[in-house]
Amino acid sequence: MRLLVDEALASDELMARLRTAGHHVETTEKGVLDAAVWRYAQETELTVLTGNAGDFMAEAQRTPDHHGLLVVYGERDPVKRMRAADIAGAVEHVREVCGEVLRGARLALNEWRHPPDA
Amino acid sequence: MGTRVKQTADRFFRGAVSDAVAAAFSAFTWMLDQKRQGRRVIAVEPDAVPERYSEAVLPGIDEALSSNRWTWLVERPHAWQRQLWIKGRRMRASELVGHMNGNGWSADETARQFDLPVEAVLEAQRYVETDRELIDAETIEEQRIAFTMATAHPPEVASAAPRR
Repeated sequence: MRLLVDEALASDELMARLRTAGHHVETTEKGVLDAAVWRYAQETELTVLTGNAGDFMAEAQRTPDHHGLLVVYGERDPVKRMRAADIAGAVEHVREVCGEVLRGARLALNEWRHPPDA
Repeated sequence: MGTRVKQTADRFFRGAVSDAVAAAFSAFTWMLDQKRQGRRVIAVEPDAVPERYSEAVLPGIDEALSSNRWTWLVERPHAWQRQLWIKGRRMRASELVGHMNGNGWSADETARQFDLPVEAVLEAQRYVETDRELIDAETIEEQRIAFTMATAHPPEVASAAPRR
């Protein structure tokens, strides 16, 4: 998949895991506004991977023909929090089910987390 | 007037206009009460405080004025989020601490993972502890938005959904 990883998710470990899995991965410049991130993703045909559900879901609603949005939301329960490995695994799950291109799709990646024994 | 109330609410009451108005009314009531008792309501320099006096207490405001306690965290205008963000980054303090706890990283490792000073990570950790209720509430709101706006679900979730 072609992914633009939002800076709040872009740990070295997640970026490395996604690259190892064969994804094209970019991240955003530090401090850039949401709207600019979204615009860049649409211009370069990248699926946005972000932890900021509220703002990017609104951007996606305004541009229905977008290149895909994958959201990781926070969890109060530490056990349920998505680790870098969980996020990379969930992206893989999405690729298996939906394919490489997510045009117009908005997914809550937490739902796509592989079960522990998978 | 409305703009000033909103600014005050944003600055001291996390945008809650009703709280700002309630605090203002409380202060006004206190001043009125002092005057009814024949007292004068004045302001003096800290080193000129008389031996006997009454002092207005403004919950939330005194703490905010006395604390420039966050070096690495800042407020950001947002429609409904009031928690603090990492300065110069588009990252909420709670997200950073969530990654740290979720991945079992130390503060040093978290700083390395996100190219941040370790002091910023430690400060974010302290902040998250002090504003836990707000952060929890905003986390629930994020979850609600993510769930309601998702257009596709994994087969195991979609097939488990109740049918009409």
